Amino acid sequence: MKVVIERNVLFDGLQRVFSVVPQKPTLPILTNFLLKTSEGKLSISGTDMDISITTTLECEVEGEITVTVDAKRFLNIIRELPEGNITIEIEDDRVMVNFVHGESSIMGITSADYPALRHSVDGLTISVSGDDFIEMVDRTSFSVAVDRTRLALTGVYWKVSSDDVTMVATDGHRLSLYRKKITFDEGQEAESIVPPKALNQASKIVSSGISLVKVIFGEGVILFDFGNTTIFSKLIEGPYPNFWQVIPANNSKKVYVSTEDFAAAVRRVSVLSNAITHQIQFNISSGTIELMTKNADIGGEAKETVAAKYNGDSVQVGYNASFLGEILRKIDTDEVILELENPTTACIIRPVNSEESEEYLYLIMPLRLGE
Amino acid sequence: MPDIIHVDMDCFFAAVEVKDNPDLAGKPVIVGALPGTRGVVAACSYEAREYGVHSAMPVSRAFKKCPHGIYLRPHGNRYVEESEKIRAIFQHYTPLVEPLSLDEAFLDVSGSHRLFGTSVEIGHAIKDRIKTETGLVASVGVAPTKFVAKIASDLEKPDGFVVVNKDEVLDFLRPLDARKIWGVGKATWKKLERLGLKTIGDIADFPAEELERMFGKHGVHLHNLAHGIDARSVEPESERKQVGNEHTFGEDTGDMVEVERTLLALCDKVAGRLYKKGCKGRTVTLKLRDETFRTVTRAHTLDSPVMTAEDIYHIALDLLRNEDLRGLKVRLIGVSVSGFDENCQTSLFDAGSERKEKVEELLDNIRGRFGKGAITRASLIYKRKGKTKE
Repeated sequence: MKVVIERNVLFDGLQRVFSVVPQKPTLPILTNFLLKTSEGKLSISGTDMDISITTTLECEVEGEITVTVDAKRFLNIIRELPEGNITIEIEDDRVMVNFVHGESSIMGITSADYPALRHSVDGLTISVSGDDFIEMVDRTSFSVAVDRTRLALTGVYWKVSSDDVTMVATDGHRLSLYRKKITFDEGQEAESIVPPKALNQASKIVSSGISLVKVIFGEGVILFDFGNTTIFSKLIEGPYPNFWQVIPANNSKKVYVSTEDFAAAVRRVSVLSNAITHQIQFNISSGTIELMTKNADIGGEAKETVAAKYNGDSVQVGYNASFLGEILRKIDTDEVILELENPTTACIIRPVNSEESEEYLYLIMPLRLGE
Repeated sequence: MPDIIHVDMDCFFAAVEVKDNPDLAGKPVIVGALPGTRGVVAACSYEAREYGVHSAMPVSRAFKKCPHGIYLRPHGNRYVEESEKIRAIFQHYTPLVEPLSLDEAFLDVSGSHRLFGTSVEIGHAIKDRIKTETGLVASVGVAPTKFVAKIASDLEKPDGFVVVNKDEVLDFLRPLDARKIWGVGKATWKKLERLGLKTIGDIADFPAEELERMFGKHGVHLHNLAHGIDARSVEPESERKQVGNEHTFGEDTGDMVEVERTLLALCDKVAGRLYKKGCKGRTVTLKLRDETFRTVTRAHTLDSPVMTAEDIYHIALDLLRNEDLRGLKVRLIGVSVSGFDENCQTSLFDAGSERKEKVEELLDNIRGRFGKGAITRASLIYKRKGKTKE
């Protein structure tokens, strides 16, 4: 069996797949790439059993064969090759790489030991533009829970209905929600809880210049199809908490503030905040937000005032500065609005004057201030 | 100036038995399981020790060594009573009291000198007052650190009083057996012995890096202790912020179903109190006292704080099931939650665990309106025996 392929094409493909190859899997063969040839095509796959990526490269192929090879070593062999065509020959599970000045060869392992990978999924199929997809993921996925005590929260909730898509992530202390009007075929609806790793991998591939993503919501599995690359991922079991219920509808205190000024103040004051709680106290009163923090551990104190449009009762509330900072980074309008009610209930943070077709908002729960 | 005092009661349980029954004075009194059972000795008088009996020894062996001894079941409530009297005396001299068990405690008296004199004077005053007010004998160690004070109180037992001044610490420690070091158990001792390190002085002279290589962090600690360095401070109970409940069974029980059910009830109570405080803690501690009055605490610290009865029970139950009770009956079980965040992060879904915490809120509501007995878990509907305290 013989393949002739351009070094850069092969290297890009290998790199794409390598990102899901586990370092220390329980099943040792998972550290390998699965290489498969068919007429005019070389496909490379990798999996950690939860997520798998397959990328198919066009090239000259003689003969059909399947083999697995140590992913890290194979990638490093190709990485060091100069540009230009290389020839790969596979014989009796031995993988030989020939280039203009020389050759390397490495023993592979028979593909019979490699777990069977999925090839197809049945379910609702949608197409989203690459830009929309990247935006959805970027605006939401950072809020997922790291703590695995509530598994559903470690994933991103994704719902598709006939006229919009919604993505939500929350760790119970903050929440991101993104909704966009996109018209799909009538009567179609799907919801799933997707591991952030799958979304981030997909997002990475999209940003390398993919304009349309095909997504199939299957039973317990989701497929992202980019044409020559596919990602299958297991879904996280629900139920996902009813987040609509926790988004306050009647927060009466509305504070408008410059996104940039506010974010900068939060960053500056947070330097001296408690290393675990990241607590900053916000004293919101007519026309201003005063930020302050005290840190007895290091004997630090900081205070700053930011101008804000607000004329209501004063309120004192504490927030985790690192949560708040992350949220403010995701808002790209000049002005941001904070909607709050009292020091123990959720505050809504949303952009002012964002595009009509999209809606996104963040919730952040306060930190109880000490007496 | 030595500022730490370690007070250790001499044969506490046996001494209380003798106090209650003066006829026992001068006789080998052995408190714990009775001969013919599988239990162990909880405490014994000095007269019994002369026969080679010591605490934690299986009672069957004790009986072979001392067949004419007077074997008694522990009278726990009496020990607690006397212990409380003694603690009240400690509290008179300093608020910084760290009880280790019913019969020993550390006191930090560095702030008490103007009122009560030097540490040595305070040590004598405490020892005398314990004798006059309870009739019991204490051994006292006065030293600059906890580690040295504990060794000192043990050195001239019974009725001991040993003072180690700051400049005497190293000379005091050097000739002592390495096993005197707190935290040197059988395993460490064997390793030390193989290195030829028999006394604390031997350890002090041994290169610190070698100790660290052999024992890791513990090696560094050993080196420091051997040089009289011990930065541990006296930690009074009241400063350990925790919410806990414990239950003493009316009769010691070997029925693990009952023990686990009691644990669930305790977790329920703790969760209710946590809810009222609006706090969650990261550390769940289980306390167990067996029929011989041996008390152990086992703790587990989590990544994220808990507050619901289910979560606390889940962890406490794990700790309980991992504990080897050596076939002994359980006298007391307790559970507590500690390690609170100074500022509690509130949560979106009714503070984290959605329904479970909502249940906590509801229970609290109902109990507030209709009384404590108004609502309980189905599995807890049984006749309660014994007493529970917060």
